[in-house]
Amino acid sequence: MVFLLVGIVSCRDTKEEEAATKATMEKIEAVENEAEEVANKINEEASEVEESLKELDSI
Amino acid sequence: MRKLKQLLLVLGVFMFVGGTALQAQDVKSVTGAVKKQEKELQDKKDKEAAKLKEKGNTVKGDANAAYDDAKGGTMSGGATNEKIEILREKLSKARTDKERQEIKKMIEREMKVAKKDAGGKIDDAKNDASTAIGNAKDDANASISASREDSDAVTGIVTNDGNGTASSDVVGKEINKGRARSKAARAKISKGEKDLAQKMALVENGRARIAAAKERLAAGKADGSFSEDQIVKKQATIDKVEARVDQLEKSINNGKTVYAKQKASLNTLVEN
Repeated sequence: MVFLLVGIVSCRDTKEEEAATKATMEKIEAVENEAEEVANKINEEASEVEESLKELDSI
Repeated sequence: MRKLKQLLLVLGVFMFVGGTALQAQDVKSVTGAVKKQEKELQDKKDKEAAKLKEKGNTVKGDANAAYDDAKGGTMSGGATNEKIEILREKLSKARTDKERQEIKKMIEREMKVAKKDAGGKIDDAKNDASTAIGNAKDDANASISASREDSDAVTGIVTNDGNGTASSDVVGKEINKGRARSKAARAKISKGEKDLAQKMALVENGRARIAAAKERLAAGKADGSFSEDQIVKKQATIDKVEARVDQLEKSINNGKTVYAKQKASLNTLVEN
């Protein structure tokens, strides 16, 4: 009986832990995606600036 | 009562067998995941090496071009060189001493501009080379660090948990995975912040080059070497570049705010 009880309780704890970790991981992934979007946008703009700066040399 | 005892015994045996089977499956899946992670890590390393080589070649090419420009004392578009040639032609045709003196002064001014630009280009090439190498190193380190942490997360083995202790317990797999992921995300944000600082240097460099171009345009207007049409075109180019530099600066400042918020958010997630 004790084993059964311990088994049930530990299974429930693991599921809760897994759900909490999953939620945290999703939040972290969202943060990472946002960071990547910001970096990509800035890199794109920086490339445009670098290209257009070359045009200045002909002035 | 006896039947209940037998039932419990059978249940106990089932749980034992089931638990053992699950553990065996877990170990098998962990081994598979480790192998997969190792392969991914190797692929990432190869990719980083290829990227580093490519960046090195580009930077070398740029530096050589800048050196060639500097050596010739000309600009890449040859605009200043052309101007000097025109002025030299004018000088040969000049009749009075006053006229000759004025043209000589103009030639000297153009030569100074050309030298300044060539020097600036070498500095830019040096900065670009150092930035590209630094970026490539950071990328490779971040990538390897993230892969190692992912691998730790999958195996549940924390190589170093910050207190110098190590654990080979598979039970804390999920928690370790979360921690490793959060650490990797923070590393990415830190790298992003470094990149922002480098992009800000590009903004400053851009502003200096815009100012130099404005000076050249003003000088050209003053000595009448540009036609009205040329002036309009050159002014439009300067305005376009200026607008792009402004936009980049705005995005960098916005990025700084976003990264600061994300760092705070990750800290809260880890604390919770």
